[in-house]
Amino acid sequence: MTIEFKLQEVSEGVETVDIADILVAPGDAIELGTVICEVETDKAVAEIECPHAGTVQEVLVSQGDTVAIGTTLLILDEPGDAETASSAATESTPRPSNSDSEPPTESSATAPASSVIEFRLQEVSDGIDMLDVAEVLVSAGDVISPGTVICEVETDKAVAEIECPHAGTITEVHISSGDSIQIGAPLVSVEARSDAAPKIESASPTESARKRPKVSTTEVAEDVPGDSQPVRSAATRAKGQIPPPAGPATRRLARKLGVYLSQVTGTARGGRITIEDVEAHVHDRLSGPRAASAGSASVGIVAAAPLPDFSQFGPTETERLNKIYRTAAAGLHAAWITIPHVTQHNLADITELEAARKRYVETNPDSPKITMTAIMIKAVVGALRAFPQFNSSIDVDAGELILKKYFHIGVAVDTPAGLVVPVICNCDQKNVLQVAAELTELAGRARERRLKSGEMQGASFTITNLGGIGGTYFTPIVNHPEVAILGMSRGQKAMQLKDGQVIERLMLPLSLSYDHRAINGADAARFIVKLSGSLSNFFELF
Amino acid sequence: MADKHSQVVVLGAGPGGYPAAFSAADHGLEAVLVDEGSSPGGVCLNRGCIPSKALLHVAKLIHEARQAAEWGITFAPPMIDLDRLRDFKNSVVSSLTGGIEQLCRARGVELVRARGTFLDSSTLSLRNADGSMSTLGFDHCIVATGSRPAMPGIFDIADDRVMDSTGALELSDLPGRLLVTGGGYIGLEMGCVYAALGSDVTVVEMTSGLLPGADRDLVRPLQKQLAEQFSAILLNTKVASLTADTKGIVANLENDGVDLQQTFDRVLISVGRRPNSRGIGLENTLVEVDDQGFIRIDSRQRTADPKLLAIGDIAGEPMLAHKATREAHVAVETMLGEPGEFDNVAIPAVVFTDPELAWCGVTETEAKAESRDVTVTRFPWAGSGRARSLARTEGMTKLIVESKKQRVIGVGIVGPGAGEMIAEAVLAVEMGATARDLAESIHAHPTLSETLMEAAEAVIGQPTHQYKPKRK
Repeated sequence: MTIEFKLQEVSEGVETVDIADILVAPGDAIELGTVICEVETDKAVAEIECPHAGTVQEVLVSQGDTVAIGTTLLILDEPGDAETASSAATESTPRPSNSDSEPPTESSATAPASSVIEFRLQEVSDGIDMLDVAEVLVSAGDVISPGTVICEVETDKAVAEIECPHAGTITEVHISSGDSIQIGAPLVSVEARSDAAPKIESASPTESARKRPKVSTTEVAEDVPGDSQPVRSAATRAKGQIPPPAGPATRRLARKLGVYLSQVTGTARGGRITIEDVEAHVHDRLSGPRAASAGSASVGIVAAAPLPDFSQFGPTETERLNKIYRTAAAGLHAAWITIPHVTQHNLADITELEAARKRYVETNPDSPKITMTAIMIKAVVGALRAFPQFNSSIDVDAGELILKKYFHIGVAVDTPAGLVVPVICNCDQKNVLQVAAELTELAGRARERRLKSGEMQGASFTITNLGGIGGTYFTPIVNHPEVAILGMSRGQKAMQLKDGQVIERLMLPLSLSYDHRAINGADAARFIVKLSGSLSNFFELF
Repeated sequence: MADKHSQVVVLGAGPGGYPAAFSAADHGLEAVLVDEGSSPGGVCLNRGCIPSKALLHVAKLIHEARQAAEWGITFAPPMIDLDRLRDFKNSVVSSLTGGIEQLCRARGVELVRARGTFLDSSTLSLRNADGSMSTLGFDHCIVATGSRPAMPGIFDIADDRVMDSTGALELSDLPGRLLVTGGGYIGLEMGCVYAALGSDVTVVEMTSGLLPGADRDLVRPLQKQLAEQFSAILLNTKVASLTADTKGIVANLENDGVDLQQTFDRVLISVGRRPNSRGIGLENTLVEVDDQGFIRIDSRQRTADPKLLAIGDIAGEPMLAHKATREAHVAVETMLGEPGEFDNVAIPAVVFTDPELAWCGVTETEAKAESRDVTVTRFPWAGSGRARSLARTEGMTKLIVESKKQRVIGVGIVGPGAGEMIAEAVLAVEMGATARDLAESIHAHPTLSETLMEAAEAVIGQPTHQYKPKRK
């Protein structure tokens, strides 16, 4: 039996690749996962792994070739053939010795030599019991080796490849693209290769299922490919390698999810792997880029590349970042990575509001200075009342939204030492004059670095105003654990049409960034429309 | 068609078999437990762990009563009523085996007293207690037939004064002179019992040390105690032959080419155990048996026969009851398609002599042999207030710790109560605990368990009750 190994999708949108290097030659025996060549796309070099084991019969491409996805790269001799069947692994596997003598009983009818295995869908991740088949990658008659990807399935959020742990010939495919299937549903029937080690397919109590409807009918043999099964006997058992540090409950979970503990990073003392580490690993794998499953070792936060030596480009000077910068950097980075941000922009008509503000400031020189920020704080409180989910925090682990009954508004203040965010508490209970007074006082102390840490805590929503500097729109980063932030840019005069007449209006660009896990886009639009409206009809503010 | 059918049949009702049947029943499967013994529980309950522990308890009591003279409390020498002692031991056994029968009934597990032999991979032939024959079919069978004491041909001289452990536990009389052949845990435990009851005990061990497999530094304090209890411990010595004589059993001993002839009233042969894989019809199934007679299994207790699983002594070393019990649960999970696997790192070994010796995980000897990078710390019980209050300061607790991450990979303990103390060590090794985990967990004072904490402190710094200047 021979297999044609074709070039599969390297990354999204890439249709052709250049063969950079070929790493195998005819006659080579390769294992599952052997890198057979390196290819170049416009952006990257990728290693192509062969999901089959066998002997390379022919290599059909050469270095420098530009080939399209789907091109056959090489032809393999399948190891399933009888003459290549004896490997150390299969020899050491327990195997019925019924080949040389008459089977003594009728039970040998279940001998694995000719068994057809029904490969069923196993649990993909916790809590998911229904999946959609995105694509079926095999068809009846295909010869597969352990680890062949049978199909891709979609859960609510992720796409996962389903590998079949069996080797053999597919006799039937039970699914097609677009099917919704349940865990336990048969995917394909595989006629086991004649040299495959015995599977206890009948060790699953299928008969007894009627008595125990809750027990999974997944067949035992499906869990572990027989020919990679370690044999444990008196001799081999005592001297095992010590497995990665993890308790029995963690190990069981890992087996259940098909996680290799050696690939999991342990976070407990001494690198011990906890149940949470296993869950995080699965989460990373399922949510990571699809290409990651093709072999690259670790998925997760990518560290920044090392910096080049800039002196080769010109003179430099190194300045130590102060604590404020470093703290802000860490917080912003974490927020940027963990919060799915969306920014909604709008223009608020503040022509009348600004005129009224100016008038008030000019006629009341002794009063606290009413700034646009102070007014915005009051406007925001009104919008928060109307849309309480903007005044909340999300507890992703618990699956809960924590709605706040208080209105503490943080205001980002640019100081020579860096960005700080003092908080004005209970803005709903203060009028605009009180807010303005407090804001002036806090901002003043912020610039003198005299804020107490307590005065920078507890905000439920943050405003950042770049209007004093300029610019139109920007995308502020949500100040975790809050779920939204409002950015103000510089108000600018613009022509608007009113009743067919061009009129001049003062428009304030607003940018509302929010955590999409807590807030949906429509509500964000409603919030900003409500907020803008209250600035235009500002009487409702007071 | 078999006379009867069950979803699951468990062959053998020892500490592997009965938990397997119980677990199967608890998961809603129909389970039949087949055992040829008159009461369930296997060797462990009837002829092994349990009766020997009852007798060892008595032996310890005798020692302590004698030792009390040093503290100003003098008892009269013990009067030994062998019949009542035997009754006590038997009552312990029968209450436990009765308990198993009760649990079988409560769970709806049918207990069949019969010898089962495989006719094929789905049928057992049963020779019932009343002599009748029947057949029992099954979807799956868990083979848990256990092991029996080895009795090499040269010792098998058809004289009941030559006993195996089963005979020794019967306690039919108190021999004046007892020869224990084999210095493993069974020989030493039984030797302790008989020595305490008043026999002159000679232990003969073929290798250079008692308890092969245990670290020597752990054996040393025990051996010192035993040397006082036994009349002789002959190492590097072989029992070349046994001859029955009217005066007793004449043993020819060979030590470094020096021949020695001694006469004993009884001889205990404790040279190991053999799996019970013969004569149960395994040849009629697809099961594979290795050269030592163990059934070949994988890590999920599956044999080469898709219908049969195997657990306990029949499924390989170490032949220990608690290993069998864990395997029982793995086997049932495997049948159910659950992700069970025998992946244990630490299987505790306990020798119930006085002092007790217990260890788990990697031994120091193994670590050295495999050139592992390990740190070994020892905390002598002389530094333990509790040990001092017991006047038992010969004990020692040691940790074998992987050097880089200080993960505890093995623990050895010698001293009274070591068998109970090893539990914490097993948890530490199994969970992948580091020395700091042990050192920073609070251990009740004053207890012997503090020695584990202090041995762990020695890994990361200085233990409170021991000071070792740092070597440069």
